[in-house]
Amino acid sequence: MSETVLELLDVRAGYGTIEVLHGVSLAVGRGEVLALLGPNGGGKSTTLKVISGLVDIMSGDVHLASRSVAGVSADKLARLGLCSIPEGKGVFPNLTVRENLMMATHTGAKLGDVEEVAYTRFPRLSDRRSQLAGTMSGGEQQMLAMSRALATNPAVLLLDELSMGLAPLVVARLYEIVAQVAETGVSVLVVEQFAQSVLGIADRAAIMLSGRITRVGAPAELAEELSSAYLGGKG
Amino acid sequence: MQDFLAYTVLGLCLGSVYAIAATGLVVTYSTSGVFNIAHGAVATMSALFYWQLRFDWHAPAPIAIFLTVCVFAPLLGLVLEVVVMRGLRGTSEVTRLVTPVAVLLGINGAATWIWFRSSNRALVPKKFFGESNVKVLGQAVYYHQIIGVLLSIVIAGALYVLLYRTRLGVTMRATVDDRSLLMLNGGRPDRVSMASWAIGASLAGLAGVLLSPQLGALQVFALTLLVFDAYPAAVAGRLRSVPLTYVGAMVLGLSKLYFDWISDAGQRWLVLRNLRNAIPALLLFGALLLLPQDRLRGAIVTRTRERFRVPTMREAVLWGGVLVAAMAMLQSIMSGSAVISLANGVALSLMALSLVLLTGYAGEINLAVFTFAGVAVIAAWQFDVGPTGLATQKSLSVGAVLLAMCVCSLVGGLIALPALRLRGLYLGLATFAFGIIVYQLVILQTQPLHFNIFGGKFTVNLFTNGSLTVPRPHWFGINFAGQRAFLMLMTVLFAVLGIGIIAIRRSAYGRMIVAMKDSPAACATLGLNLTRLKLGVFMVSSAIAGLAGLMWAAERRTLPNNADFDGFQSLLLFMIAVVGGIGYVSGAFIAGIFLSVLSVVMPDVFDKLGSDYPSLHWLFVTVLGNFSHYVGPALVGIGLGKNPSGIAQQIMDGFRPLKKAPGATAIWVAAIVVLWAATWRGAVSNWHFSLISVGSLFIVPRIIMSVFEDRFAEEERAVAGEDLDLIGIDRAFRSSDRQVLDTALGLPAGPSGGVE
Repeated sequence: MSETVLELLDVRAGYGTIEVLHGVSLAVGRGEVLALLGPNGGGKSTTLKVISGLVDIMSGDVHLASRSVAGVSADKLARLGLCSIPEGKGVFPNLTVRENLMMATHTGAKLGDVEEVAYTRFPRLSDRRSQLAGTMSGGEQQMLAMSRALATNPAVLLLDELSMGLAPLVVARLYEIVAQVAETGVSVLVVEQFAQSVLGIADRAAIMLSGRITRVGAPAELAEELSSAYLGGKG
Repeated sequence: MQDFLAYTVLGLCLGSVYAIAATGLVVTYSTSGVFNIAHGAVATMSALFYWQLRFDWHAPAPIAIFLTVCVFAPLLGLVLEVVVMRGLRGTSEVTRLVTPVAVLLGINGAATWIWFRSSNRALVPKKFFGESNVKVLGQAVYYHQIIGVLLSIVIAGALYVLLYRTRLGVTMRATVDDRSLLMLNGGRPDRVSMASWAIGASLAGLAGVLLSPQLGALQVFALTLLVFDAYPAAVAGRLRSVPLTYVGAMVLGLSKLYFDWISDAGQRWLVLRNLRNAIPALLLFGALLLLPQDRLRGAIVTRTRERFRVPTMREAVLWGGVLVAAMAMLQSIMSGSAVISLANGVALSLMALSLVLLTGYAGEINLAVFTFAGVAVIAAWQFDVGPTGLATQKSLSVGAVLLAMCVCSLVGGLIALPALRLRGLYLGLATFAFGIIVYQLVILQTQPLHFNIFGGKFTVNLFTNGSLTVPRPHWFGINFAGQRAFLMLMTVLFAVLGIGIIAIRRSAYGRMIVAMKDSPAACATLGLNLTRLKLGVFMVSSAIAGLAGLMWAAERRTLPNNADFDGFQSLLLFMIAVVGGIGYVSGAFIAGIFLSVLSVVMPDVFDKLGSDYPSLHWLFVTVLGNFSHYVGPALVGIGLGKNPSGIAQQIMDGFRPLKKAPGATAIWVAAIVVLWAATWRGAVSNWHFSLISVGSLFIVPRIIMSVFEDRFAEEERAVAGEDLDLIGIDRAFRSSDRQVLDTALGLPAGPSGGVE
């Protein structure tokens, strides 16, 4: 693995007194795509929330570019170059497309640059710049969220259930773009419940069960363990 | 025609000022998601601050207006956001509605304390440029009014540019859409919320300054109500649209002025002379009814921090009996004045009880509880005294009580109509508006109403003489006219109704109304009739409120129509009920007692201390007495964000150690009984009994906690140390897991109970 950009060290985290992550350790290298897979309720989305600063850790540490960022607020992490697209499209439904893109400028990017990247990569968004994001199709909303990620030049990209509710062709197109982003040196951590959609572009994959990473390896190596995990085996 | 144009000009001038006030509300709501009921109080405080600078300290008008609108009001908004509103995240709609109510009462209390506590001096603000005016369409329009119109136009344009053309404005709107997502974009929602509250408060301040000359002399609650009048305009804009809010404000201003025109300022039809004051509430009610029907929501948006435990019937009956016994013992050793205060508290508790069923269980809101008291009193009075008002009734009859409950139930059904379409904030506003309408058109009605039905003449006296006298009951051969007997009657009523409400909660009907609160969408898919459920719960709750209101009125004996019904008392009771614990019968009891203690007992105590220790008069009376009277009730509401489940829950948590040490608890209770006996025999003074018994409530659980610390810690470890999720998954099930499961599932411990 190349130089490590994002690292979780024995992280325990949860909600209130309930611990969801029981000592999670992970590392993502520069330009690497790591797929975090597993069935519902395993703690995948919580892992992303911990990394992006939305959930506090109980113990352990999170490193970004070898610096501890545990306890740093989500907005500061975003300005440090960590871009997160949460589950459920990651757009502001009551803002127009242009206004959504304007929100990407909080990281320091210029609106003109953000719009140029977004409309060049996804021309359909250009036609809908005055339309409320909540009234667009799921695929278009995901494009809008992705264009924010592309325009802000992040060091790390976190994607949560990118494929949810989208047609297979749209998913394939979006993951193609994710692969291109990774090629520019961006570290990508993708959480997916439907493994097949992401394994094609992932360099490595990790299986997460009951708040623990049970296995990390090349996608091909994990095929058998994946089916066991989804069918309720111990992993 | 000339008159029409003249009144139109004046209506538009008034509408412009309403527009400024209403857009302040819209800015705050559309950028923070909180409907700031305290908006009127911020306006009032700002108007008083302006008066202080301009007319008491004689600062030049531009400096005074700048310091008020650009410094004082925004700072007040900032403080509110940082200290109060930020703590409301993750709380229910009820809590988010109640906390601004507490802020309103707190600010108004503070304003009264600062400007009106010591003298009856009149604070008279003047218009900008005095009486200077120009003629517009033949009507003299003051420069003050022209400034209002110009400012409203400038503000409308500026707000549009801010919200739709600047990053700050778009970020404000994004904060309401998805706060977390904004943070993931690098935005700072806390800063944005501060900015929006500062802008909203600034607009409130400006509206307060512009509206205040209308009153002649400044009065705290009158000015707050004047700004309340602008709320229908904000609702017309659905709390989001600035242009629609302006339209609503103009309709409001024109309606008031046209009414003045056609009614000769209310003198043409005496029966309708208060209609002008009810117009904003009528428009608010109408606007709310015209809002698009609320979509049924699922449970996901209602995950909140409030948690209420339902007691068993055995516990309910046991604690009901304990309450009655404790009250009987207490009243036997209390002085007459203390019994009056306690009776007032129990009467308020009874009224709060109606909210446990309606709000605590069913999640519906009623901000007009005192209105039902007024309606109940009118109905009972008609039944017992009759239309002539000449007969004197010595006691309240059972028939009058039943009639009052029936009438209140029907009125409750009427108020439920908007509830079929609205929820949360909108429903709260609808009930509040309903309360104002009834207050202005019914309770303040001093003209007898004459009806001719089927040839027979029928007269209804409302509060014809400005007050109604309600006798106390003489039931089952017992005369409850005496203060102590009446206190016991109310306590027994509270216990019986409380047990009844818990029985409802534990029944299939109770499960349905809680399910309706949690997820109307799920209820609808299960085939539950939501209309019938809502209607039923409103009618039952209103009947309870009517009964409670009648008891409250009988406790006071004579009920004037000029206080208590103007809406603020209902807001206060609702707030204190939520603070007490809206999901608990015990919370309702705490609420009533708490309200009575804070608003009546504490100031009396500090007055007495002040007269006993003259050198500390400034501390006991000026500081502590005024503080507890004016600001105390509001402060407890402001702290609600930290403990949204209420005081009852906190008390139960605090007393939990007693359940684990029954022997020590028995000794403590026995000691209190012995102390009571000694007080009853005159060996111990009431003061010492109060001091020791109340003090022991705080100290004993802590002593028990510390004495049995090791045992409790061991039990805690047994419960918390085990990971319930892993039992039976990562390892084989052990017998020691049994205790953990028993505790988690609320099963009785021991060999016969629990999981086998």
